[in-house]
Order: sequence, then C-alpha cells, then structure tokens
Amino acid sequence: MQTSDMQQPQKKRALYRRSLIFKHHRYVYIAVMVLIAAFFVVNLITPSKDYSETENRALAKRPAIKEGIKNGSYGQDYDTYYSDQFTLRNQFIKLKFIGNQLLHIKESSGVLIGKDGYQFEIPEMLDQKLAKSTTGKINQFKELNPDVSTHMMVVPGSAAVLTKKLPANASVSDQVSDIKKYYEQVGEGIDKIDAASVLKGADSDYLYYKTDHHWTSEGAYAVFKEAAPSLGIEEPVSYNKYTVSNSFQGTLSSKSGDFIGKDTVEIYVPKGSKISYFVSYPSSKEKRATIYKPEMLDTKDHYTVFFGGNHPLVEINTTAGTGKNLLLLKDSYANCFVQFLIPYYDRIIMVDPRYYYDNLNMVISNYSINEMLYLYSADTLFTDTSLADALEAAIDAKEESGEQEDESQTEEASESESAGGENAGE
Amino acid sequence: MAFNSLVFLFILLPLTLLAYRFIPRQGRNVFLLAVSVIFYAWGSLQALLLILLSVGFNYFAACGIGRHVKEQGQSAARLHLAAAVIFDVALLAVYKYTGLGMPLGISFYTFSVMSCLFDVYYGKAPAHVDFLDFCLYVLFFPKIISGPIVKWEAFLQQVRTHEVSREGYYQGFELFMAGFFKKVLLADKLGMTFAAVRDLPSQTVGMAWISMLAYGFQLYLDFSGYSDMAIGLARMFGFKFDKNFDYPYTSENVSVFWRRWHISLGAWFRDYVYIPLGGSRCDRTRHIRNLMIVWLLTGIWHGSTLNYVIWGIYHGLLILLDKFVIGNKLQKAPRIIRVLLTDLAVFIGWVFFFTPGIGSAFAHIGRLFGIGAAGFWSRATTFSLTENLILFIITILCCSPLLKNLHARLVYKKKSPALYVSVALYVLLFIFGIAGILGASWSTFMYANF
Repeated sequence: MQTSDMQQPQKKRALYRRSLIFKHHRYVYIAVMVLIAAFFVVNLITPSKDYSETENRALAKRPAIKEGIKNGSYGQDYDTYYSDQFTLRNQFIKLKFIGNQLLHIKESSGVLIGKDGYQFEIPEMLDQKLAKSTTGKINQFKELNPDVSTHMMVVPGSAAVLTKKLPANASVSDQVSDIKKYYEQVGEGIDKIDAASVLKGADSDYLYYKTDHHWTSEGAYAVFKEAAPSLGIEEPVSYNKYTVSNSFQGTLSSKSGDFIGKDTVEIYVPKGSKISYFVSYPSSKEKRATIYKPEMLDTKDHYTVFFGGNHPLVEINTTAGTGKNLLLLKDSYANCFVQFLIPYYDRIIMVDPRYYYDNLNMVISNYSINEMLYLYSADTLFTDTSLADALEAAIDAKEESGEQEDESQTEEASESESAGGENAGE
Repeated sequence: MAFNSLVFLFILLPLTLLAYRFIPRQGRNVFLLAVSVIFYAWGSLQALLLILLSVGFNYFAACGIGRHVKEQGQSAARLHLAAAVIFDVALLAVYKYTGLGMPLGISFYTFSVMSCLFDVYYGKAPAHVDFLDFCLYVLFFPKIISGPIVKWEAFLQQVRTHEVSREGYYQGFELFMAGFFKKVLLADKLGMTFAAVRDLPSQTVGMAWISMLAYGFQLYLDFSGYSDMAIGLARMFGFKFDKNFDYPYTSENVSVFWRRWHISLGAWFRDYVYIPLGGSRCDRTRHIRNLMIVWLLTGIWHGSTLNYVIWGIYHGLLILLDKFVIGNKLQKAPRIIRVLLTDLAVFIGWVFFFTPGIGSAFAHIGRLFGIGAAGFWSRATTFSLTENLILFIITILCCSPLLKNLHARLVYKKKSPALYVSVALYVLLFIFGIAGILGASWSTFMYANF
C-alpha cells in the first residue's frame, strides 16, 4: 500500500509532463503548418513576376512540363522557379540579413557591413599576370600613338579608403598599395593620377555611397580638383550642386540584404557656363542635350542617372573650343566623373571595352583624338580582360596596316563589326 | 529533392500529410511509394532508372537466395549471395570511381538492398520477399537520400503494421523541425564560415583550427540534422527508426564515438562484415584484422579518393590504440579530458574529408601545430573568430544534450508561459530558416556526395 501511495503522485507527474510535451509538439505542428499552408496558398494564387529590381535580374518562369522532363531538368527548374517567385522573397532576404546581424556576422553575401551604415564590397586583389598583360598593352598602345597625351586614373574601392568605417578587425587587401604596384608597370610617358591619396586625404567620408559600390560625385569632385592641373586644366570653373535623389539603395544593399540606409545622389553642373554640349549614343541612335537621365531615378539604380548606365561608346561634342579631343577608356566609375570634364574638351568619347567591339584606331582617327584617359575602378581593372583585348586588337590592326601601307590604303577598319547592345549596371 | 527545399516544405510535404489521412489503410504503402518516386525522380530521371534497376535485380536476387535457403539450406545460397553482392558493389564502384557523377543516395540504398540480401541469407528475415514491401523499403522517401540505413529485418517488422499515433505524429514533426534548424540555421552558416576561412590567402595556425572546427561542426549538424528530419518524417507515417546520432562529440573514446556517430552505418558493418568475419570472438590477430577490414571499408564507403582510405585506416588505428594500448591508462583521466582528446582525434580525421589530396591534408594538419603556417595569429584570424563566435557557441551547445535538457526543464513545467514562448520561437526559427534557404544560393546536402 505504502509504496503504491508513493508512486501515485510520481506517476501523475510523469503523465502530466507527458501531456505538456504533447501539447508543445502539437502547438508547434499547428503553428508551423498554418504558416506553411498560408504560403502554399499565397504562392499558388500570386501571379509570377518577370523581373526582380532588387536583384537586377529576370526571375525564372514556370518550366514547361514536357520540355523539362525531356531535358531531365524539370525538378531543378521548378525549384528555381518556386524560390524566385516565393511570396515576400525580398522581405525574407532582409530577414536573413537581420538574422546575420543577431549572430553578429559582419559579412553578408560578400559584402562587409561596416560602421555608420557603410557597406563594403570585398576588394579585388591585384592579379599580377593580368596586370602585366594589360599594362603591356597600355604601354604598347601609347608607343603607337605617341602624340596622344595619355593619363591614367585608377580609383580604389571604398574599403581601401574608408578604413575606419570597416567592421572591427576586418582585414581587406590593400588596394591603395596594389594600385601603386600597378602604376609601376605603366610606362613613363603616361601620366598617372594618384586618386587614392586624394581620397585618403579628403576630410569628407561621403566619398563613396554607403549602399552602392560606386564613388559619389563628391568623391569624384575631390579627385577632379587635384587632378585638373595634370589633365591640363588650368582654371577649373566652379559647380552648382543639386541633389537628385535621397532614396538610393544600391547594389551592395541588394547583395547583402541590408536595406536600412539610403544614399543621396548629387550632380554637379558648371556655374554660369556658356558652353553647351550634345550627347549621342551611336549604339541606340539616341541623342540628348544632357548627360543626365532623370527618368532613371524611377528605377532602382539611381547611379544610372549618369548616362543611363554603361554604353559601348558615348560621344559628347561641346562648344568649349579648346581643341582638345579626349578618349576615355573606362568603367562605370567614369560615369559621374565626366560631368566635371565637359567644359574643358571639344569632344569626349567614352568607350567601355566590356561592351565595345570596334577598332579603337578608328576612334582615334575619326574623332581626331589628342588626349586619352584610362579611368577605372581598381575592382574592374584588376579582374577584367576586355581592356587588354580591345587594346590588343587595335595594336594588331595598326601593325598589320603598317605593313600593308605601301601597297594599298587600309580599308579593313570599316569592316569591323557594329558595337554591342546597351548595357546598364556595373 | 531535399527536405530543406522550398518545394518539399511548401508543396510536397503538406499535400502528402494531408492526403495520407484520407487514404484507406490498404492503399497507404502504395501511396507512400508513389510519393517516394516523385521525391526521388525530382532530382534526376536517370537516377530513378538506375535505382529501379537495382530494386528489380535485388528483388529477384533476394527471392532466389530465399528459395535456396528454404529448400537446400544456407550454403546452397552462398553463390547467389556472392553474385548479387558483387553486382551491387560493382555498380556502386562504377559510379564512385569513374567520375560519372554519383546518383543521389546510391551509397545509402546500395547498403539497404544488401541488407535485405544478407538478412534473407542468414534467416533473419523470411525467405519470401514481397515486391511492394521491398520497393517501399528501398525507395521510402524519408531515408532514400541519406539514410538512416534501416535494416531490412527491422523495416519488415513495421511495413505492414505501421500505425500513426497522435503522439508519434507530433513528436515526429518536432524532430523534423529540430533537424531542419540544425541543417539550415547552423550547418549552412558553418559551411560558409568554413569556405570563407579556407579561402583566405595567408593561413595562420588559428585559421587552420577555425576551418577544421567549422567543418567538423558543420558535418555533424548537417548530417545529424538531416537524419533527424528523416527519422521525424518516417515517424509521421508511423515508422519508428532508431536514432542515427547520439551526441557523438561527447564521447569519451573513439569506440564510443562510433557507437554514436552514423549509428546505422556502424551497425551495418558490424552485422554484415565484422561479426561474419568472427568479430572479437577469436584470437587477437584475427580480431585486429577484422577491425582493420571494417575501418578500411568504412573509409572507402565515404568517398573515392585516397584521403578516405587513409581516414578509414586512421580511425581503425585509433580504435586499436584505444582497445589495446592506452585505453586503460586513460580511464583515470577526468571525463572531460577524455572527451576533448577524442574530439581532437576525430576532428583531425575530418581534415582528410575536406582537403582535396593527401598532400594538402598533411599540410593542413601541419599548420594546426605551426608547421608551414603563416604565423600563429593575424588580424584576419581575429576577424574570423569574432565573426563566428556566437555561431560557434550555439553550435557547441547543440553538440551536447545541454540545450535540449534546459529546454525541457524550462518548458515542461506546470503552467509555464515558457511553453508558448517556445512555440513562438519554433515559428520564428522556421521563418529564419526559410529566409536562410531563400537567401543562400542553393546549398545541397553534403553527405549525399559520399
């Protein structure tokens, strides 16, 4: 009797505990299943979207069953489609970022989350082999065009400049010294502009966007002021500053999922300038009287307010009357730099070798180029091979035509293919 | 398909669970088989053809073995058994060593079918093999991709009688959730840590340790999480599978570790290789030989490169060392010391898993102890460590029963609001898990490559 009396409350307790466990498991099941069912239904009835602005890419469409099974890729295609079209996809990506923050993880999909809202792309390292090949071509091209006064400006990414804003203990490759090493390989005849030192010495922090991988107009202006004399610009005019956007969330936000901060985009317009100009985009046959495309402020990437992004070739003709015709070989960092250059050149030809497949010799001769500027971000220059390819093609064509010169005038340049399509981004 | 894919979580799983309630008892196994075929075919139709070939072949082989055993006794079936096992092993070897690309789960289902052959041969299971039972046994979707390698004999006891209890159903779901969290919230993050640290240019001693720890923890949470999901799911359909992991990183010696890590594989080798060879009930030389054969085969099962062979031999030697040389002496040391020593030995073993070749494996082990490392510590090492400190702490807590016991103590109390907090936390973690899946580029189950 006694023992069973003792066991009774114990048994009761065990039973009660079991009922609690059951309750817990059951509630978890119900709560999660309600959530699953809700997403199941909403995913089912929400129409598919074609494009994600945040991710800057086309979203997968529902795969065709017949074709999918034939290729054996139906399952995979459907997985991609389902995850691309998942309800609240963008919100989930933000949530993932918040989760990382809770775990104190400072790196989110290749983006470092720094102080004061700054986000940093992990800088590209100098690839000696690529650097040697590209600088070799740059030097050769200079030798073939000795009369063209040539300048070069490589701009470090934000992580190398705003080091104080990096997350604690983050160690990134030192692009400032990498740029120095790169410059050492560029020939004496080319003027090298030390943008890195200017940026490092600048008082302002807002030299780069917090949420985008580009430099700001302010950063570009700081470098322009210092570089003007070496570009042969004696008395730079002053500029009016206009804010065109307060709500820019750039590529770094899209990558990291950190949509907390917003950036300001400014444009600089020469003060009281009488010089007028004209921009044409041969690849799209478009012509404008301004380098700005305000309609791009309605899209996600507000940096494309400058020229609407990257193009194979952009032609700017001005009434400056300086007799200087500039060829700018560039990436997207140049897009916000050109606004400062307009008053000082008769003609600025912007060529982006990543999208340009014509012969550069033609550009030099057709536009009577007498000045040249390589303007690149270190991240592009250290990884991209298209500049070397474009220069090599031009060098080969020139050498070939030099051999044939005695026999007949060269006509081959006119055979070259037409330029590629419009390309935004980067 | 994987359990942590959105299509599984949001389409196949809810529809299957819902439909299962309405299917009459006699149709349930056919229904589960149909779902399993969709689940498996999702990844690749060719893989489905191959597994069907294996199922067909082994079904007839098992029937043949059964008939011979029944009519003429075990020895008459020996040739049949040998032929079938050679065929299965050869098929596995072809895919493993020719670089054709391993069909999903082939290492696991090949061992399943062989279990059936052995069980019929040894008379552990009836001589008559039912085709539908056998198909479901091999293809059953909770276990097809990465186990557990349930034995035929154990499956057979349940296949006709499995019954869903309310308690088991919810318990199964809870286990599935717990595994899901391990896999998606911890293992996938640790995977990123591992990749990030491994790819850093100058490897310090600190980094060598961080990447080894990240990999070892990832492997455990990834695999045990996936096993938990599998066992939990099977439970929701009334199947009771034994646990596949039992906090292996709290083992006090390597033998215990192997009774707690990938338990179903260990049991497979014990029952079908070690014991038939004579096990430990023979003289010492033979015993040692048997152990080394098992460990060599375990290594080979895990991968095709020489690294896995060495890893297998390494574990075999560790066990011999423990059994015959230092095991007794270590008994006097405090448990925590023995656990840490075991973990050290096991983690060093994982180096062979994550390095591409023997040279890089030994280079990494060298760096752990300062040989060939770029210094002891660096700023980047501090960054990697601080970046992952919270993750590591949570991970370590999850490697022992501590967190689970704490949860039980807090939640399963009379009138405790903690119960509702806990339910809310599960939902929140599930949402974060979905965010992790959507945020990551596709992350596939690591162990499926072995």
